[in-house]
Amino acid sequence: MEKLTLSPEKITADLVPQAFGKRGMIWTGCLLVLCAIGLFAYIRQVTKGLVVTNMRDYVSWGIYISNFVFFVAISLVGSLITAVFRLADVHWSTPLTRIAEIIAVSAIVFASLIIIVDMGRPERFYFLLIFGRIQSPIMWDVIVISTYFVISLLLLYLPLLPDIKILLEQKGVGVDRFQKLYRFLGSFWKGLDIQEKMNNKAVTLLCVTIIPVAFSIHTVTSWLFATTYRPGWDSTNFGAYFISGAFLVGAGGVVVAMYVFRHVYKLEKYITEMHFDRMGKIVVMLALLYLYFNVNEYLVPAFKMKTSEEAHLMQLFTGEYAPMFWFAIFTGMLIPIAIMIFKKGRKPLPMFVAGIMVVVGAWFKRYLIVTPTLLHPFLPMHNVPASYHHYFPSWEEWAIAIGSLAGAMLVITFFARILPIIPIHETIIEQHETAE
Amino acid sequence: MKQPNNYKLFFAFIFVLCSFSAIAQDEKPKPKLLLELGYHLSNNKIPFVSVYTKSKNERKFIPVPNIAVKIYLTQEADANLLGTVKTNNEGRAIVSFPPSVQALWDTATQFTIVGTTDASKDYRSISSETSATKAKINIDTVLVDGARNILVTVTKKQGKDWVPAKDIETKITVKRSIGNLSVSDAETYTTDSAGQATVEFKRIGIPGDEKGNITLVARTEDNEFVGNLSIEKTVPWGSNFVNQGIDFNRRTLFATRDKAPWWLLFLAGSIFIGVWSVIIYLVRQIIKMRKLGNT
Repeated sequence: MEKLTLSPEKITADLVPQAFGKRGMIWTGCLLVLCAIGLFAYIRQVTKGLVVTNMRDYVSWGIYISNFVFFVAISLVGSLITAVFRLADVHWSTPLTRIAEIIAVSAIVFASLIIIVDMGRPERFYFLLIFGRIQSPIMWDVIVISTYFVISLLLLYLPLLPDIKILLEQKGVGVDRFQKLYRFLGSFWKGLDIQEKMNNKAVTLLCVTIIPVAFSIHTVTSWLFATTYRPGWDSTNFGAYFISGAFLVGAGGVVVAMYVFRHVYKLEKYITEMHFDRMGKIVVMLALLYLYFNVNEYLVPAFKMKTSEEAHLMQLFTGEYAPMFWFAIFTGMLIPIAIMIFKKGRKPLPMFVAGIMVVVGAWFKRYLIVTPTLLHPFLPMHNVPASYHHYFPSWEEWAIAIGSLAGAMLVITFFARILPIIPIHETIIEQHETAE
Repeated sequence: MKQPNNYKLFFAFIFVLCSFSAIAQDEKPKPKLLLELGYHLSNNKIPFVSVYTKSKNERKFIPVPNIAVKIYLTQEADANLLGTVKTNNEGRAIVSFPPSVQALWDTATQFTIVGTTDASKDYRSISSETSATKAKINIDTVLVDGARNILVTVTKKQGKDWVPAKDIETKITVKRSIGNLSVSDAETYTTDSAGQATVEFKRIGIPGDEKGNITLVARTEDNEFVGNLSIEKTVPWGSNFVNQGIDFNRRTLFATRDKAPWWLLFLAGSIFIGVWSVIIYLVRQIIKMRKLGNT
């Protein structure tokens, strides 16, 4: 790790939350507008029914479920960066832990919300809780998502306690208006040895717990598909396939966030080129792993080319969905690998570009997992309107999906405004230990 | 004199336009209510009349619920009233023949059913009628050269006698869970001059109940002469139903929520309790840390 030679005061001054500048206000305003449009579209959907969407009898899981899988995938990054690295005693990732945890919490919140959107009438969620069957993977998903949300929130909160003490001691435009909130969250934190000991033990326990829960959340999400007998989903590999994809998109998301926060908050001393270099290596490894699972998922059925699978596979390889399929493969995996495999590609700007490609490619990959399969059922489609043979989301679906993505980014933005995005206390301690 | 400005004139114009529009809507003709009546006799017991109220909207028939319909036998008179019914959400209702019309019914050979509705704010009053000949249907089974045959007989009342009713189209079927299955290849069978239709039973080995019983059904549907007659007969011609042990009363993955398999409940419950115990422990730790900090 590059040696920091900064005083605790300087680190604190650098890392306390800062008030939004003009760019921050514009960014937040844009996100709020997108959220408002999404909310308007959702109100239309609730009042007029799911008929405003283009989902019909065959494509009953459209862009909403693609978005849900995407959110669940990106939320896994909290367990990777925080839990796995912490348990493996990897210290260079300290500046990235809070970013990963914030992304995880905001993504899991919107994963839950988008499922309720997909249900049509929101009270159906209540009925799911009241009348749900434990035999159904949907019920498992509800249980595991709510559990993961609570654990992610705790994993964000517990390491934050020492930082809240620091924030309570600060004065300035960036923190003054949140003093009440800070007092509510952590005025009890005095930094006592016993508190430190209890907190460290709790965080370690959380890290151990979150890994199986994180694996469960995405495995169960994959089972929503794999337990349904359909071309493209009938796979025993789906759990591992989804988890590898989730780690990739999560790591890509962290790379993008690292670059943005580093650039906007001038954190070059804390999020260094070394961090990008190491994250780049991790992303390459994850992209190769995900590529491996993709080869498994497509090559094996394509080799056998069973009649029932053929229409689906040909649509992906050379048919209607081929441009999107190859875009997702190249943009989401191959090009980022080609960029980041070289040392020059692991510099901040190329990494930022590659990170965006990974995230965008991953979103389209989720769309491809959901929609083309639904358009190719085992039994042929007979006597149905022509529109049932195709699916393209309505403007309400786009608005809600984009609104939810904007909402997740808005939550990240507000977290970054209120909380230090790099752990202050841990950075001071680590610098102290390194100096010794 | 002060001239009204352009804005005032514009709003006055809009007001007048809206008033005309509202008046025009008031004058919209009421939609036409249609009333369908059907005569039914099931297993030669008490006859009943089916009622269906509907209206036509954009080339489609839409059921009209909550319409009160008075049903009479032969003519519209209080003594001939079969009953007053209100149609349900599907626009349908039925009324059975009451004992009060038994004397009239016993002497009838040809008869007419009359239905009337009163005018309402949505619909004008209408009346409708249907006529039929008093008839009965019977079902019997016979063995012809070792083959199982079904003999359906339709008779009609003529004077005081019951005589064969020829050229009546009948459906001869086996009752199943969801619908009825024809006993042979043809859809319908027509009675001959003896009022009989005979058909060979070809559904050999069709599953019946635990004793192999199946129910044969012979019926006429909206027949212009005799209306809707139906009769059933239970015969031991099916194969014995063997319970395969696959039902929703067992604890399986596809059973109802209260019949989840024990292993799943144990597994899911253990994981849930295990993870949430850790969460509860951590929340308790936070409370402890809070107490330590506040003392």
